[in-house]
Amino acid sequence: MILRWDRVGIIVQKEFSEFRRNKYILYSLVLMPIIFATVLPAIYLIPVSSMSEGPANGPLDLDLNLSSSMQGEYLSDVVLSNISLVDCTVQNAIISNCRLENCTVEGSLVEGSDIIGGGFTDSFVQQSNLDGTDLVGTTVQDSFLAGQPSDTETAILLLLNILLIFFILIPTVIPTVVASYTIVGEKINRSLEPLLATPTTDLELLVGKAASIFIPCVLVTWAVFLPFVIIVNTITEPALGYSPMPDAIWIAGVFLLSPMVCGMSILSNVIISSRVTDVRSAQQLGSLVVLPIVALFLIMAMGLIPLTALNIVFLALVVLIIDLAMLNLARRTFRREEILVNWK
Amino acid sequence: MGLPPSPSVKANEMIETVDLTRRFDGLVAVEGLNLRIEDGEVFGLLGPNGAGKTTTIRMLSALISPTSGSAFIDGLDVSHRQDQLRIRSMVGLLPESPGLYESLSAWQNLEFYGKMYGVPTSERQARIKQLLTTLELWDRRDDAVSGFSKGMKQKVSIARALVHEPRYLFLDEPTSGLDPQAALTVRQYIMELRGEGRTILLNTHNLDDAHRLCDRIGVLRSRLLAIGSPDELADRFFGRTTMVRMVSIPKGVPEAVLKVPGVLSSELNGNELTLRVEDPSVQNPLIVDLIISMGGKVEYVEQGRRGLEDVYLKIIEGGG
Ligand SMILES: Nc1ncnc2c1ncn2[C@@H]1O[C@H](COP(=O)(O)OP(=O)(O)OP(=O)(O)O)[C@@H](O)[C@H]1O
Ligand SMILES: [Mg+2]
Repeated sequence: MILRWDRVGIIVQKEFSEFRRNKYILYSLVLMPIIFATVLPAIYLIPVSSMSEGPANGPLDLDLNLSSSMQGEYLSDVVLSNISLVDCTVQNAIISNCRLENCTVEGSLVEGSDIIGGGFTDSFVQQSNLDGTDLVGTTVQDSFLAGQPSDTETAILLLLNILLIFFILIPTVIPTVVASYTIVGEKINRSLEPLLATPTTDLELLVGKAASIFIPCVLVTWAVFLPFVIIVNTITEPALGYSPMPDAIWIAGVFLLSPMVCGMSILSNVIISSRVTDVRSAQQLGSLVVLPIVALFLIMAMGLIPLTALNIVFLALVVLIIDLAMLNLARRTFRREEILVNWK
Repeated sequence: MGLPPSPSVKANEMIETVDLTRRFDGLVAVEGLNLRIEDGEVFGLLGPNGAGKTTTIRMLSALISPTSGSAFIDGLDVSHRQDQLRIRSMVGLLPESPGLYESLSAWQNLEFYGKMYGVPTSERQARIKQLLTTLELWDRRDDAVSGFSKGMKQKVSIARALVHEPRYLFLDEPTSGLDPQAALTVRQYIMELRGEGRTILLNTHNLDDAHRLCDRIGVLRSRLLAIGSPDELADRFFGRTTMVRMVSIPKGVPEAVLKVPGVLSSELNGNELTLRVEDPSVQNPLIVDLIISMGGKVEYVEQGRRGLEDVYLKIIEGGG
């Protein structure tokens, strides 16, 4: 079927003039993204970031006072303190204020010690520094693990992942409002008939409608990404010691996945709006499209599928395929015969 | 299915339908419609609510497809995908409801449609100005249409149908909702358009409009019940009518004139004798002679016709 972009452009222009005069559409295009991008990260990140006392990235200052040393010994059922142990095997011991280098420890309690290399099995470690130690069935508390994120860092990074859901929701939710107003509005107004009487194809109308929603939604999503990055970095930097944003996951999410998701939302709302007669039910049904997105992200956040940039790209491709399928469906709904005879 | 007729075969400027039929889930909206509307003709489609008038216009505008049969605009087939865009650019449609973009101004509405019809900028703006001026809306051009009265919206909608100077104009109840003066403006405007040689198909419930505007009318109730000029239809369904006004009436005149061959009925109202005749040029002199020979004094003789309303009602009642 014929698709002439100048026609699409005329339709998009007309839609924009209409958007400018619809306060609901303006609110959803301006206010909603700003809230999503500023208030939400603040609410979520400030409590977590302020709980930590600065970047917990350095080792604990243990101030060890080592009075003797052992090497290559086998020790069991002992209490050890202020000793430097190298290449020792220790079983069922209580160890405090020691330095353990390449030691094999089993069933022991270790406290206030520097531990380098070696391996721990079925033990309990607290207030210690660990560096490159294998841990099996061992609990580590209030300690510094070299090369491992701190609890605060882990929490912040997890929250950021959840915030990505909210961010992707911006281009998902706005179309439910805009599409319901423009399509149900045209239906109520009966303005589709004269439009369909012009020498334009159904596809041009569909693409014009969809593009007029797609363009502002995606642009506004991208536009609020900058303040979002600044806010997130400002809040989390003191706790992390570095700026976490933007990373590859977010770049892929915002610039690749969100346009795809936006397209999906627009097309499903076009289809839904053609079946209902009032704006409210269009919005209620339309907002259901966020559910699969949220579900997917929950699966990712829970770690069932690792949240990596590559997986986001892959997800974007999956959504693109869904988009194409929905475009096909929308084209069938958006035929003039269908619109005039069956859209009520 | 045979080969689709090629556009060049019927390249004469007119509207033609051949057994045009449209059903909606079992309900027959239009059945076996055969129409031929000549170039430059104003054709009125009359018929009760639900008669299929709007459905016919929609099929002719290539908006909905016929269930069977076919329709041609300027030789182009409304069912042909490749013809439809050309048909739509030649047709100006005034739909049943104005369907304007309420938040936009009259000017913006017309600009948008002008662009959609591909009218070049300078021509478009001159045309919109002229249309809005004629329809007395120029001063309100920048106001949002939502603040317009029903009649004002109807006028903008009419302007929209004309913004691309279409050769074919389909008007679905053009004067409905208009005050008498606005209706007059629109009617005069249609007369003007007719003068410009446009082919106009209009649906109306206003028989007065139909009589004044249309060269021919068709009465539709799913099927086409009658077609012809308003006068032809009056003559066909009521015969010709002659009215004789007398100063004095001799006894027995109403009965006596019935014996004149070709006089179908006679009816006396006060001093007026109304007669249905087969051919006025044959019967009228005989009637006058008879009255005078009976001692009557004739004041004047007038050719009378039933109004379109009577004709319409008779057609509809007789139509089953
Ligand atoms: N979209 C539709 N779906 C189902 N039936 C329809 C549809 N459009 C029209 N009809 C039916 O087709 C018949 C003709 O309708 P149409 O609108 O053409 O009548 P009309 O002559 O224009 O009537 P009116 O004078 O009231 O405008 C009616 O019985 C109507 O119910
Ligand atoms: Mg109608």
